[in-house]
Amino acid sequence: MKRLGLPISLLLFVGCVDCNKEVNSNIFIEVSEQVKLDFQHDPGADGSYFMPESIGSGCAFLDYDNDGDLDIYLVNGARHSGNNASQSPLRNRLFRQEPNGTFSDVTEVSGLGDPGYGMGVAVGDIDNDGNIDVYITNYGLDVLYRNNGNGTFTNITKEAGINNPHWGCSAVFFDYNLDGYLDLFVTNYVDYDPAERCMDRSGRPDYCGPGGFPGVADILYHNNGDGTFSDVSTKSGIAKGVSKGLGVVSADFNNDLFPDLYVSNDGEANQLWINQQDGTFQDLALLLGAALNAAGHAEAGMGIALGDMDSDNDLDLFITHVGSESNTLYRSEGDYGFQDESGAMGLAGPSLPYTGFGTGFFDLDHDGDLDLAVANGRISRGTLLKTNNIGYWDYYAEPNFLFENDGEGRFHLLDKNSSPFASLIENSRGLAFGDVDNDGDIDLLLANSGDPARLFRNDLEKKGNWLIVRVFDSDLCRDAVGARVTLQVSGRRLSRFISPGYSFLSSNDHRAHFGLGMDTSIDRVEIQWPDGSTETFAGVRANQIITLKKGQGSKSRSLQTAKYGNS
Amino acid sequence: MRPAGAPVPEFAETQEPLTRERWNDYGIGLLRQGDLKGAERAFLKVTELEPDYADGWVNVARARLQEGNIDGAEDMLKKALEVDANLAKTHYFYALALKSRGKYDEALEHLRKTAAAYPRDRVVRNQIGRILFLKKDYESAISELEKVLKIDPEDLQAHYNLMLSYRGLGDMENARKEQTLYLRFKADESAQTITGEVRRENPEANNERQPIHEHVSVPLPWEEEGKTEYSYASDNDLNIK
Repeated sequence: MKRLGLPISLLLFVGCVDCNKEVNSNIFIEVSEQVKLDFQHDPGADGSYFMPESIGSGCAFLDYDNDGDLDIYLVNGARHSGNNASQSPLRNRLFRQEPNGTFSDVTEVSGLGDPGYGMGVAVGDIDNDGNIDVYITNYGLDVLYRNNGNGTFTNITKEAGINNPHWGCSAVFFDYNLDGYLDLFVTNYVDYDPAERCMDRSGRPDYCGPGGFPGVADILYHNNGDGTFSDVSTKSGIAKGVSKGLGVVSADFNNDLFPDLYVSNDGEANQLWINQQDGTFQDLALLLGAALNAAGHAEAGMGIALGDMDSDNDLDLFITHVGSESNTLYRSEGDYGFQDESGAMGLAGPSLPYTGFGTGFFDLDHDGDLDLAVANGRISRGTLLKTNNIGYWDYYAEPNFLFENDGEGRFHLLDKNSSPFASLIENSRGLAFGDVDNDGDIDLLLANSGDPARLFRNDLEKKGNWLIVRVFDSDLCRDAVGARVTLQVSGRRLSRFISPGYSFLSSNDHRAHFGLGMDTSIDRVEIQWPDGSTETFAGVRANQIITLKKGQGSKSRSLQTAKYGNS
Repeated sequence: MRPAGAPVPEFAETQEPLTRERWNDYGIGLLRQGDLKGAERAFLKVTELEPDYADGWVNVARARLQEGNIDGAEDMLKKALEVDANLAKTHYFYALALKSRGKYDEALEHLRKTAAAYPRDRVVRNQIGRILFLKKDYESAISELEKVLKIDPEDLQAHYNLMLSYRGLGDMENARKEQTLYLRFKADESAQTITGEVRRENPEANNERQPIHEHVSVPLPWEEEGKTEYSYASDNDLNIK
C-alpha cells in the first residue's frame, strides 16, 4: 500500500468503556495533510442561526475517472445572507486521486464545483455509459451532473426534468422497477422559514429544531432511460408519507428481489417503504417494529447504517439520533420484522449524551463480523468539550465513536485514544466508507461542519484475511447496484448488499468488502443480480480485489425466500 | 434558571434535613432542565450530607443512566440497596441498567419487586412487558401489557408493544387492531408545527405544555354504537401476585 512514510502501528493495551480490550493504538491514521486533501467546510455562519448551517454537509468516495482508485467529493455550504448571498465564493470540491496516493483539486476543470448551499451527495451511473454521475442535494434547488467521460461534468438538472426546490438531504440511486436504469430517491427535510428565531434553554439565540416547521414529502424520480427523469412521488405512494427526512438507504429487505427503502425522519416515525413490484410502495415500518423507539415514540432519526451485523444473512439497520435519545439498532428477525436490540448489543448507553449523524457497518479488523463507526456533533449549543482554540462550532463539537463487534452479540466502544477519528472533538456530519488506498481494508472520510474534512487511513494490524468484490453488470456497463454478494467460506455465509448510499448525506465505495478471519480462500461466490438471476463463481483466494462480471459465472438457483410485504 | 456550565452555588451547609432537601430539589430541577452533570453533582452532595438517604444514591444513578454511564449508575444503585434493600425505585432503576446490558432475567427480578410495591404503576408494568417481548415471550408480554391497559386504556407504549407482540405470535388481526389503537392515541406530530410560533414566543408556556391528541381522526372500525371504549380494572382484575 501507499504508506507515505508513516510509522507502522504498535500494539498497546487500551481500555474501553465496559471492558478492557487489546486494541491497536493506530486503528486509523489521519492522512489528510500527507495526501494533500485540503478542504475547509464553511456553512456560512453569520450569526443569524440559519438552520441549514446545523445540518450539512456530506461527502463521497467515488471513482469518477474509472482509473481503479477512489476519488473524493466534498459538499460545502454557501453564503446565505447579505450582499454575498448571490455570489458565494464557496464551492463543493472534487479531488482526484493520483497514482502516488495524493489528491489533486480538480474542481475547476471538472465543472463539479456546485455553488449551492450543499447538503448531500448521491453517486450512480444514470445513463449506463460506464461513468458515474453525481446528484447534489441543496437547501434550494438540487443539481444533477452528468459525467462526460473525459474528466468533466455537465449540469443537466433542467433537461433531465429534476426540480426539487425543497431542502433536500440524503439521496440514493436505485432501480426500483428493475428496468436497468437507476432511479433516484431524495429525502426532503422541513419547510424552513429563516425569519423564525429560536433560543436555547438559557435564552440565547441558537439553531431551530424541526419541531416548529412542517415536513416535506420525499421525492421519487423514475429514470426514463433517455436522460430524463419523471417525478413519480404521487403515483408511487411516496408523497403520502409527508415527514422530515434526513437519511435513506435502499435494499431488498423482504427478499422479493425488488429494492425497498428505509427513511429516517427527524422527530417523526421512520418509514420502511416496501416495494409492491408494481411501481408503488407501502410503508410497513410501524407494523414491522422499525419506526419508533421501545416506548412507541418517534425519535430524531439522522444517519443510517445497513448491514448483516449478526451474520444471519439478512439486513440489519442502525439509526443515529440526537443527544438524550439513544441510537437504535433494529436487528432483522427475518419474517418477523425488526427487533430493537440497541441495549442488549451495547449500542444504547454510550450514545445517549451524543448526537449521531454519519454511520456505517464495516469489518474494521477483518475478524469476519461487522464493526461500526459513528460521526457525532450537536445541533444546539452544549457544554464545551474542548479546552483550547475555542471557535464558534466548538460549542457543538463532540468525539466520534468506533465500536468493535465481538461476534457474540455485543458491540464494545473503543477507547477514544485508540484513534484520532474517535479523539478529535469536532462537529461531524457526513461519513464515507471505502478502501481509498486499495490495500484491502476500509478507510474513513469525515465531513465536519465548519472544520476541515479528514481522511483516516485504516492501519490496524488485522486479525484475518480479506476480499473486496466489485460486481459489474456487463449488460448495463456499470456497477450492479442492488446486487447481493454472498461468500461461502468454511461453512459460513457472508453477504453484502451493493448499495453505496448510506450513512448521512454521503456516498460510499461501490465495492463489497469482506473480512474473512483466518480463512485464506473462499469456497464460492454467489451473486444475486438485480434482475433476479443468480450466478455462482468458483472459489478464489483471499487478500485480493476482484471484479466479477455478469455472465461469467454459472447459473444457479437463489437461496433467498421472500418475506413480508407482498402477496 | 442557572445558565448551562455555570458553577453550582455553595449553599450554607448544615446537617439539617432541610439542606439535604434543598440540594435534592436543586438536583431534580437540573435533571429536568437536562443538565445531567450539574444534577449529578447536586445529588452527590445529597449523598455526602446524608449517606443513609437512599434516594440520594438513586438520583445520582438516574442522572448517570440518562447520560449513558451504566457502570457509574450501577455503583450508585448498589449503595442505595445497601442503605435500603426495599426501596422500590432503586429496583426500578437497577432494572433499567440491567436491561441496557441485555440482562433481561435479572432486570425482571428487580421490576417484579417494584411492581409488588406499586401494582398500579403502568410505567413499571410497561417495562416488564417490553422485556418479556425482548425475550420473545410474547404471550407473557401480552398478558402484562393488557394489565397496563386496564390501568390506562390509552397507554401508547402498551399499544405499541402489544402490536409487536401479536405480530411476534403471528396474530396479524390483533396486531392490526393494536396498530389502529396506537395511531388513535399517539400525539399528533403536526401539533409541534402548528404550535411552533406560539411556543417560540412563549418559552415558559412551552416548558409546561402537555401532549394532546384527539380520537376522531382514527375511528375504531370494530366499535359498536353506544358501547364504551374502555373497561377499567380493580386490583383484583389485575391479578397481582
